[in-house]
Amino acid sequence: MSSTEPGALERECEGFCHYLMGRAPDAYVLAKYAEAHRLTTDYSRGSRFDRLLVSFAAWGSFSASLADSYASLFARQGILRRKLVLLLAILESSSPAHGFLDAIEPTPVFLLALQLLGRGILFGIRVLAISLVLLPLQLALGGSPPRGE
Amino acid sequence: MDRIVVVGSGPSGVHFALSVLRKGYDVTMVDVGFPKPAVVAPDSTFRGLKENLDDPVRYFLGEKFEGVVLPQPGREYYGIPPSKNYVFRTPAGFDNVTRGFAPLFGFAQGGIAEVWTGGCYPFNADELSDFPFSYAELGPCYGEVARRIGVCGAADDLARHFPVHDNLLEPLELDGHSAVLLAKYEKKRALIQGEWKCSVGRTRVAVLSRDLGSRKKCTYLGRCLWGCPTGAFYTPSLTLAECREFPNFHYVTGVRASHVRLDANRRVSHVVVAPADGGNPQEIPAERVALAAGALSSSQIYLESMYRHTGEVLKLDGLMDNRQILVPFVNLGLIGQPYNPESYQYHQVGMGIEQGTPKEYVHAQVTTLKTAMLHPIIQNLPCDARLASFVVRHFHAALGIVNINLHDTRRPGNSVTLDVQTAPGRPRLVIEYSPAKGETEVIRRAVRTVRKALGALGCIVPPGMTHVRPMGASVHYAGMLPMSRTAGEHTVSETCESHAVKNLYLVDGATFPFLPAKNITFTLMANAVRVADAAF
Repeated sequence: MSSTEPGALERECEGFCHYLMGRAPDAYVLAKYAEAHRLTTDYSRGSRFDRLLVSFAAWGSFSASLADSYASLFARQGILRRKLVLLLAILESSSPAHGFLDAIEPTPVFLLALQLLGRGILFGIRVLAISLVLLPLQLALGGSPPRGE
Repeated sequence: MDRIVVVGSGPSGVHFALSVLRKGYDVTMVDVGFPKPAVVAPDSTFRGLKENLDDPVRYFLGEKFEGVVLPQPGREYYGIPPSKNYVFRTPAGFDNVTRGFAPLFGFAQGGIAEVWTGGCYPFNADELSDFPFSYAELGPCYGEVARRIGVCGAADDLARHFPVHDNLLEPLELDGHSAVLLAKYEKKRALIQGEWKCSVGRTRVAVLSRDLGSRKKCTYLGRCLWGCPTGAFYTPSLTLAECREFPNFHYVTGVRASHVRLDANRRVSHVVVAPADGGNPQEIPAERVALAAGALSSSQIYLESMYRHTGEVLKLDGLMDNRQILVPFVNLGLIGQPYNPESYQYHQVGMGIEQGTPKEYVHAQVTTLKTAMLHPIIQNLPCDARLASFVVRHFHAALGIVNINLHDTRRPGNSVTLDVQTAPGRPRLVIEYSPAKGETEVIRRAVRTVRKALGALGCIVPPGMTHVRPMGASVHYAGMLPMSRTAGEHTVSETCESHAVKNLYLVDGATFPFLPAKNITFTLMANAVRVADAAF
């Protein structure tokens, strides 16, 4: 699957939107996501491992969360992270999606701390689980530079 | 009266021009002068832009999505918004060589100060001790510039570091986060000042807290980072527009000055300019010339003028710039709270840290990040994007960033010269810079003090996120042709007239013999007014 084909991009964008904010993108977000891919190779250039990771993430929200958890530590500059950053930038720039980042109700700190702890633990579990599969694959296929390089 | 040619429309050029125009001189300003695009939806708030523009992504991220900050080591936490890209457009054939320095050049109407953050900090007597004039001479010029542009602030604890001048407007309404920081400081003043010699107070900013002439006061649309749509925030293009109303002002735009032609008596006879998009040069006759193209470009014009007159390639030492360090922080008391983006967006709170000697003063500005893009922060967190979005969303009201500025001194080896070999007929500027010995320790000490002060204000600094910006990033360039009471090689007089070329004036930062840890733009404007008053 080529990640620059319109149909594939649409599915990918939908999957990533569900993953990031729990709902589908509107037509405008889909169009801007596709437009960015047409205008630059920033979101298609990468290693075999990068492309495999994107394909895996595009299966759905759960696979996206697994792939991103891994990429956030071991493939920070890879295509998947670039695509997610692009989508975040589009979402925070446009209505009505921008609300998912900047509209919150006041939350008591202890409640927030509990939520963060829970999410943090889940993140750790996801990283551990998926690393067992993806780390050997990345070493075999050659991945993006690890964090900090 | 002499016909004066002014090169450049930045803060120095426009305030010098305005002063001499008022005296009745005939002024020709030559300028590349890329124009500012039309303002988008001038009455809309920051959120309103997202909700009402047909294509908000194009506005916020740019036509080619150049506003997306992709994962890359060493990237800044925020960049220049696409709506300000015109400032960094360069003329045809523009090129330079740099070592240890990452300069920014601006060729827009108003110069690179079109993207400044409005900090107006007068130099005090200690900081002017290397200048051939005193604060008593410059003080009234600060007042005059403040009258022209509108500067607001308060006579608080920071006034010990930057004097109070005339025409200071009352401060702006504080955003919620800045108000919390200042309230906390009131309770912790004794500790912060006593233990760490750090003062906290209101910054001085070039924005209107009340109407000034035809300009209306700030209406808190929250769009400062993206370009003030109302003109309440001052940029030099506003003074350029004022100059253009004078019948004795001639604005020659679309041209870049390469050098001045000197006659046999070593006086300027013409300014040589070429079309910015390429083409044949032309000569503009001049009786007196004021170079105000910015310290680097003015030095380049000086170097090329001397090279064409004598065949000698000079090297000018003394390049200075403020080292800047960005320290992100989290205000624990604001975690989980909502925030209001309809507030003034640049720094409203500052820190002044005393060091061993008054000239080593460290200045810091606190920005509370309400309408900056969040994806650069999200992608920097060491977790997946969904968790990072959750964190940033609930920490947004609590986020801030301190921008620490360090002073700089003229040192041999930090220089500009010309490369005349690579492209004969079109010399390139060569810029070299090395930090002072011991800079690492100075940075460490400054960051430690800021961290402690933030701690006392109820904030924490996340580990590993402090970012030392490259030299050149502050765009406070100065020092290559310094003012001097005695005629030295490649120096200027106290009225900024070249000691080598009698009718050539340098009215920008190139003439500063010292660079305090402060934004120099306000002093550039004040000094230009001083020169115009003293020498014309």
